[in-house]
Amino acid sequence: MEFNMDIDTGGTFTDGFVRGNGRTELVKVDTTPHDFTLCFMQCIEEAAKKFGYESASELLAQMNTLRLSTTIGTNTMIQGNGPKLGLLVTRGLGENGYAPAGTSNPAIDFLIPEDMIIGIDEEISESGEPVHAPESSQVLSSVKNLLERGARRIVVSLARSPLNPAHEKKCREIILEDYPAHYLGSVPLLLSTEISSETDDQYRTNAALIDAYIHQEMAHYLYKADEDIRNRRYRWPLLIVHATGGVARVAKTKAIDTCDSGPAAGLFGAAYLARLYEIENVVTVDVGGTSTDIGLIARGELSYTTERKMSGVPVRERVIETISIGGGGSSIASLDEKTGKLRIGPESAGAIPGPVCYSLGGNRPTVADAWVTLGYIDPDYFLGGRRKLDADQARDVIKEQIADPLNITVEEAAEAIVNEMSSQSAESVKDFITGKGLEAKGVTMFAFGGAGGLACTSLAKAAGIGKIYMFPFGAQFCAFGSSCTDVLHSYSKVYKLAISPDSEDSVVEEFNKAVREMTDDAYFDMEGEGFKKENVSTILEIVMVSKNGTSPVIIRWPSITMSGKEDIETLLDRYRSEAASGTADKEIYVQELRLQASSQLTHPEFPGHSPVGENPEEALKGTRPAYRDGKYRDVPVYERTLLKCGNIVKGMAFIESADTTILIPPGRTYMVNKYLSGVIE
Amino acid sequence: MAQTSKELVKGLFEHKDLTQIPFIPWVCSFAAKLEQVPVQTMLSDAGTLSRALINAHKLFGYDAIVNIFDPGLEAEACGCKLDWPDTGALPEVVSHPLSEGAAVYDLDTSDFENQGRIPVVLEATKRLNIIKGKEVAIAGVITGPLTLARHLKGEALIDDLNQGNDEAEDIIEAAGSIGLKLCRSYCEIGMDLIVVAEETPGRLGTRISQVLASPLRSIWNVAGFYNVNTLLLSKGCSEEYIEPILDLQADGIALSGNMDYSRLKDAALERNCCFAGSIPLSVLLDEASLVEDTVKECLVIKDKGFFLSTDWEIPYETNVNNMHEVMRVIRDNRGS
Repeated sequence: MEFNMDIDTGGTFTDGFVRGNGRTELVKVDTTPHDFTLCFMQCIEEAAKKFGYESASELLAQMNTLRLSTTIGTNTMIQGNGPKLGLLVTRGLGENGYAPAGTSNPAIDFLIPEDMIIGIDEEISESGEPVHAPESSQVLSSVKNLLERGARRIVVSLARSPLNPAHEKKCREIILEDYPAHYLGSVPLLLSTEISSETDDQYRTNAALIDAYIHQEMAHYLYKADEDIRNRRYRWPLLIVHATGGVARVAKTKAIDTCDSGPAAGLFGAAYLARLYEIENVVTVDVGGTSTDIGLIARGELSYTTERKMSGVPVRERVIETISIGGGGSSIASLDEKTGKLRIGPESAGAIPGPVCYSLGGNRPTVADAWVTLGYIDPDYFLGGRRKLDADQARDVIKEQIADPLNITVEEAAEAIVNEMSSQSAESVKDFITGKGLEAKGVTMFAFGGAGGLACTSLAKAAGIGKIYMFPFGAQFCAFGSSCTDVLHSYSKVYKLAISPDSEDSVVEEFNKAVREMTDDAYFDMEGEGFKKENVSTILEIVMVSKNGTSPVIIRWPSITMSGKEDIETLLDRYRSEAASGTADKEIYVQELRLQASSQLTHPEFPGHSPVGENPEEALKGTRPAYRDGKYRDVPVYERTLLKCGNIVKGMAFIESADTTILIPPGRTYMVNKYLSGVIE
Repeated sequence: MAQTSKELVKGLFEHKDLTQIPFIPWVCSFAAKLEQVPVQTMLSDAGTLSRALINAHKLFGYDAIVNIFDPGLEAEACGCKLDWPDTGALPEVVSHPLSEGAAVYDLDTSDFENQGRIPVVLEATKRLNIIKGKEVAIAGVITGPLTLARHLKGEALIDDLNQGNDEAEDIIEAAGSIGLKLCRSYCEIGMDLIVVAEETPGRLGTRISQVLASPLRSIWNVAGFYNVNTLLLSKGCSEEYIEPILDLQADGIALSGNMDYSRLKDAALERNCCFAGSIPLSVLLDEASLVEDTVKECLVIKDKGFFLSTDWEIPYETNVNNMHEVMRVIRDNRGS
């Protein structure tokens, strides 16, 4: 028997998605922040039990793939419990973290105190030639100074180093000579060019600082997890999900790669399902307690971004694009002091004290309080009954702070809160979709997250989206998404290779040589992960700039070589057609080559079910009163896990499970498709 | 720069000028209420206990987290039976082995750290310390020797002690040595504060010092070895016991009952001992409107070594809003 498992360690829960023996099982355990390897192993133990094994070892012995996504890196940054860093920069340029004039670098005094940055004398020319090498005595005295003031990790980020990393490497040589790696007193050292090939010094420095800040915690956790499963008879490397949507073993993972890898994996899963259902354009909506996050699959392709902020620190990196568009269940409803108009957020009651109905002392009405007041959430079945909610408190606070001042009933006020949240989020969803050249009516919504089922129908309606998909593993969606990823390695070479229609053959040769070096590295790394050369797929991207162009253009090249001048002309044509400015320039350069190498892993297969009939009666668990469109109705409530293929639930109805409630409004239907997902139309 | 909670508590015991008065409430069963789990479940599972205590702290933001507050903990590990009330209150000790034929030397505490729920509490304490210990002071609570001895022997112990009975004194010593073991385990985990919670020292009358000085001295010495501060929390004390309690030489004291705070202050400061202004539990259980005046009354004292506390463990049935009100008044006071 063969098993594949995906684990997503979140801030509160650790989710597992396990396939094997023709079955898929879902697991949820508490995250143990004092030692993340505990919840990691508990998750595997729970999975083993679900497949009838007595120990994790029995399951791990038969497991082929184990992938892990985690938010530990992000948490380390949020909690500010990383090590004290020291930073060596180019004197006169980098003491402020290479922030452009008149600005400041958000990493300073967050990841590193300003007085822990020391400038050294060195220079690399604009063309990448060494002009002035760093001096040994200055480097050593600077490092000594930083160590004496408590630095536990040293980052070296010198100006223009991607053009020529020789000076950063020289610094390493100098430091290692005095602090050899085999001594206990060795200094953990990181060169910025090892983490990022970004030519903008500020962005590259930030990436290196983030990596250095979270490295220790991540390395400790991931290596221990890897060792724990090997001691329990797992034979393969533990694979770590990256924010790029790929996976790699621990030894080939940079700490920064793991940040926000869970949401990225979720989108990868959405793309996989979109292909399965043959849907071209999908907007994903993840409605949680404090935020609603969206992502997009346009014309079958995931949407990527090259710039993102990690805990407020900007870095440039090509990652799957997700944006937060505002409120979740804990968003606070209030009346504008000037206009008296109802608004939702941006303040949130968070998880603590949370909505008023949590009875933890919250005293401002939230969207969740409105849902409870309207009867959309069963106060005795929230989180499967694990937390009892106080509906009276929710009602009272809405009456006092919203209904009475507006001179409307409590139910009208609660409904207004829900509608306002939808219309606020709908605007952002529409903007996001149209910004990618799509129309909302041609897009399908994939909804997940704890509150996705309650928010999605009105949000879709307000945004003009007709069809919504809900999934049985919606509460473990990121773990599911990781099961759809492949092993992926990225390589890059920074250049300044001038190209023109008159380019010599030597330019083509130089280009091909650089790509060949990267592909050789890729095959070598993939072999280390157990993949043969013939099973490795590669994608080449060429980053091009012109002398007066405002921003680089990334061109995906159909092959991994250039055959001659014809190819150069094609490349120039593509640059001119895609560049926003500088197209008339004669000086056009290849600035960077990026190679992505991937090897496919096994992905989930969903067995098709045959329809058993439209009548969902077997899943009916009762009725409860709920308010909608000005009146109370006795609304049927169905148990989601008992619904079968072909069942159609007509609105108004609720479909409940331990982790979510789905509202089917009047006039809409929820149909269980052959993969047991729900389709709301 | 504002001091962290941990720095505040450390500074308190060093009698430093502080930016604000530390608030150290005794939160345990109340955390179970907030987490919506039965007290027994919380006190029997390390994960639930640490999570509930952390979440309660996250909700209110006081300055020290206690790892447990369960006078039945050590008694159960020594063989006493407990009754867990449905009301959410802490367990009651309902059997007393030393009054049922067993002798003091029959108590086997050689593997005390692994008996009863002690491993659960030690594991939860480790987790608390790892997760919150960098920013918040963590206090390890030990049941006082007199309270534990009474659990082992029953109510007769007090009379026996007051009559100078040798066996009763042996029981007190045995209870002290059990507290000592727990104290050492807590200190090794890295606690900031050891709190000895004694329920009824006043019943010893003038013999308080004579009976309790010896077992407590050992506990203070061990804590001192690990550079951990100590605090004696006692319930049901009247003013006449201020000096005898101070003579027990903890680094700090928190006394419940109607106190003349100026007398307490003078006596404590004379001995370089920290002292608490205690919010009566009755206020937390009553109308929220009573909270403000009571807390403000306590906060009048601004001397070094003064901190705010509650007069005993905050009960399960405490009104959440009253506790928020306490925090509001404290925050307002800090702002002023």
